[in-house]
Amino acid sequence: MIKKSLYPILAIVLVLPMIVMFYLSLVSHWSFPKIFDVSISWSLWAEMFSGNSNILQSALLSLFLSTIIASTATFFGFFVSQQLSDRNLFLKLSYFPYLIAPVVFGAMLQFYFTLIGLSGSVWGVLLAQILFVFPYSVLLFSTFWNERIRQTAFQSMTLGANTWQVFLTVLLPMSKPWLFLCFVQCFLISWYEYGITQLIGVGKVETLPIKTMLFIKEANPHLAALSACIMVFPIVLFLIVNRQLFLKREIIG
Amino acid sequence: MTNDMKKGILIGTYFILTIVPLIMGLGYSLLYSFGMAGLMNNGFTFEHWQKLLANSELFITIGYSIYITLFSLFFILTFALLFSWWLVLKKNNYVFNLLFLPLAFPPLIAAFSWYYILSPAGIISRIVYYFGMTTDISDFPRLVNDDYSVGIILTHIFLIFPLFTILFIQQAKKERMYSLKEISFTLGSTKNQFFLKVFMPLLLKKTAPLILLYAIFLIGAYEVPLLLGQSSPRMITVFISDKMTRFNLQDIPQGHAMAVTYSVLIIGITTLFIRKIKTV
Amino acid sequence: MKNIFYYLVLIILIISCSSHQEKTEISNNSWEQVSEIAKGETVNLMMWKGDPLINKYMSDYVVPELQKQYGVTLNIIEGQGNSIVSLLMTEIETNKQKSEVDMVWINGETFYQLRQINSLYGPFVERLPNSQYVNWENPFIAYDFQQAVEGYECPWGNVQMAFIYNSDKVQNQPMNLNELEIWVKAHPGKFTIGNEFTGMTLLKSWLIYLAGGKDSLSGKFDVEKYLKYSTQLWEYLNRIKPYFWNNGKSFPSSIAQMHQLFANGELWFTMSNNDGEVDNKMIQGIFPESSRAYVPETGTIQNSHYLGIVSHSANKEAAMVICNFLISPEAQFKKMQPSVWGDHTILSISKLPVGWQQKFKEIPGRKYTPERADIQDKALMEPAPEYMIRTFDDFRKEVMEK
Repeated sequence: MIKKSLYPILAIVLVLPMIVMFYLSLVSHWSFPKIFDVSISWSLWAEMFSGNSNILQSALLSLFLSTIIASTATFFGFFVSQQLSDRNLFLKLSYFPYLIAPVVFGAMLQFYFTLIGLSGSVWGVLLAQILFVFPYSVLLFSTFWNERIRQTAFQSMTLGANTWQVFLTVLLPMSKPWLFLCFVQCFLISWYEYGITQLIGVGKVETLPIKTMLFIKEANPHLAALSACIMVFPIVLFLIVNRQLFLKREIIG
Repeated sequence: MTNDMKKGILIGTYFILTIVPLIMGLGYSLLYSFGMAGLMNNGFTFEHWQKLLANSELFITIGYSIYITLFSLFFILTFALLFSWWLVLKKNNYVFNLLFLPLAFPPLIAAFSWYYILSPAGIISRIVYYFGMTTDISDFPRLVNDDYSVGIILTHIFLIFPLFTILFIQQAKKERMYSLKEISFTLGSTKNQFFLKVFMPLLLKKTAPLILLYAIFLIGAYEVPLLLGQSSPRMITVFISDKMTRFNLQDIPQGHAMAVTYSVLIIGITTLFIRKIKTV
Repeated sequence: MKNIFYYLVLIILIISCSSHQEKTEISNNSWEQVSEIAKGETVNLMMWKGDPLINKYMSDYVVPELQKQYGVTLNIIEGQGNSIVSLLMTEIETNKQKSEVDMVWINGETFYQLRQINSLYGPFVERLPNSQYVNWENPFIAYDFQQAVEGYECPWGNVQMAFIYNSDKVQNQPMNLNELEIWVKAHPGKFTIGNEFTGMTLLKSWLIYLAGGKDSLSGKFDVEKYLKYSTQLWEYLNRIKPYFWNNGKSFPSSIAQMHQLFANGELWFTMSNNDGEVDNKMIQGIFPESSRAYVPETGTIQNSHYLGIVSHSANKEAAMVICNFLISPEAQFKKMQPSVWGDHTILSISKLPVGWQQKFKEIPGRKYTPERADIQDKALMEPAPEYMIRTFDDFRKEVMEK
């Protein structure tokens, strides 16, 4: 049956990129047409952990940036979205900064970033990323703030709870999955971001994607693969544990 | 401060942080493209827009981006529909679980991996050579940096079709496709008829907003065409970044003009999109 | 909680508006004073990072030595040509007081454009103690794309373009345009030209040849000459383009990519702006054993590459110290080793102290490429920068997009 034979092919297509990445990070002298008779060594991985390499530095910088972006966007997105769910216009306007390709957005804004002295700095990259991650989190939370939640909050208030109590005992528990989801999604957007980081950071803010692209430009597939593995493997591991999180994109993409 | 004032300030700040930069950026690019901003510019002129239109570069670039978007989407949706149709009843099929993998991949890494899989010096070429099907590196067909952008389309498929497959399966379950199928069979339809007249249209209709959303993402694709594309034609984002950072300073205004064109295009499509979705 | 928001915005504004200390005018300081001020400063150098071996020379030798000998920290950022110019342009447009980048690795058309927007500091080169050893008598060093350097950029290295080929596959190297045409038609898919700096340098060499050879395009940009000879060049290229790699449908956009295609065997030819590159890459095991380099009869461009200091840099003293170190006999000697970079020195050997003269003479000779003395007669001077700019543009219009 065609179906039965297509499944393995599909499976290979889905898994091949990861295998190739891992393989490239281990081999050297990879000239055509060698496949298996290559020298395999963990030296690149070892060098990375030895403290000499700056791949780990980039990873830490990316981790720092993405955590701040995710926390800030989630925190403020939650509250802004609550206020906005009555005003559909603002919500709709949120789509625009989110949908413009970050690299074009950055090209148009570079003048202003230089003007206020933020170009080439981590703060500048943070601000640049927030500009389109923030609308995303507002859009994401807009599906949480539906009638049911409002009714529940309202009912608690009529039963005597004050705003703070409503927040702590009603809204927070109910919104936990959403908060988690938003944090993860915002983290990923920032973790993988290349275009705007390269433009506003001027190449000085060397996040993991910037580093990976540098290796690709140098036509060094082995270091690029290593860097790519560091970018992707933790996410894949996380994914295996939390599959459902990645599905919620259907809400707004 | 009353609640209403607090609300107003919060919304106002949000507005400043999100919409205002977009307007400012567009404004700057617009001015630059008409010669009214930038160190090398001499005052209002249509010159840069004329240059952009004269070479038909504008149309070729936009046309090419639309071609990539439509072709990618066509294959993505076709495969997603087929596989969701086959997989919808299988619980925990190993393939279904693997579909989640590409969701963790960013375009940059996907492009990099597929380059080393599909290029003449890549994995598939070496395997094919090993089995004696080719005798020289140049016998292998060109799949990256090629005329039909096969590499770009394949990478887009890899990145997006799993998501749609999963979504279609979920949506199908939600719409109780299985019961619908039973009903239609008792009414005399065949499997194919059901697929073409019920399964496909229903799913496409329900996910139409999301499809439009991904169309917008694909038009603005950057890393994938950067690594896998040809020198010409280029996609919109690559064109813009080329004009702004490669050899000729006089080309920068054209890059800005294209940025304005692209933004207007996206804003137009987004407005269409907003009208389609149901707001909460 | 909205207060927190306000504070956040406020903090961002404060950081961005922090006042910069004014530095006193440095042109009157003695070298001792300059070195003293330089200690502890950090300099950002923007340079092309497309070659891992050059990157290694910088990160493994230059950066630590600068720290050790002068207490200066050197930070390297990736950037080349036009991206440097557009960055500095934006900074000048916004009246930025302190540049993000202090030093730049440049030559030719970038130098030209940077001087057009007044973004280079100078003249400073004469103040460097080691400039006494520089070979200013060599026009290939004193002139950059037909412009007098005038102390606004400091020479760093000197290279001549060469073809690199696989001697196992290529028995008779094409020595001129006709022979090349015959060769690519007989061996389709094995040759190409990169759509980047080195490729454009080759095209300029051919333009000069078509215009009549050495010095035929010297002096200011002559648009008539350009149009006349470039038309011939595009005709030639369009004739042989279908026999290029990938049928001429796409061209490598970086030299690193071309070298990889050559190393893989997809291409039998590559090229380099640096005649010493083939030795360098072979010692490192990147190119196949059978690689060799040569300069065709049509001649190739020899040029020097330079370092500039940004006009609104806040660390000019440290930048000058770094330039001085990079043109020191010690650093130039190391750089010239084929195993390190193979970049020819810009120092005049006869002006050096005797001990150094000896050392330079003993640098391992090139094994796989002709000695510089042997190809000097085929060296062409770079034409005016406008030729580069027009060539790049027209190559796309007249060849790539046809």
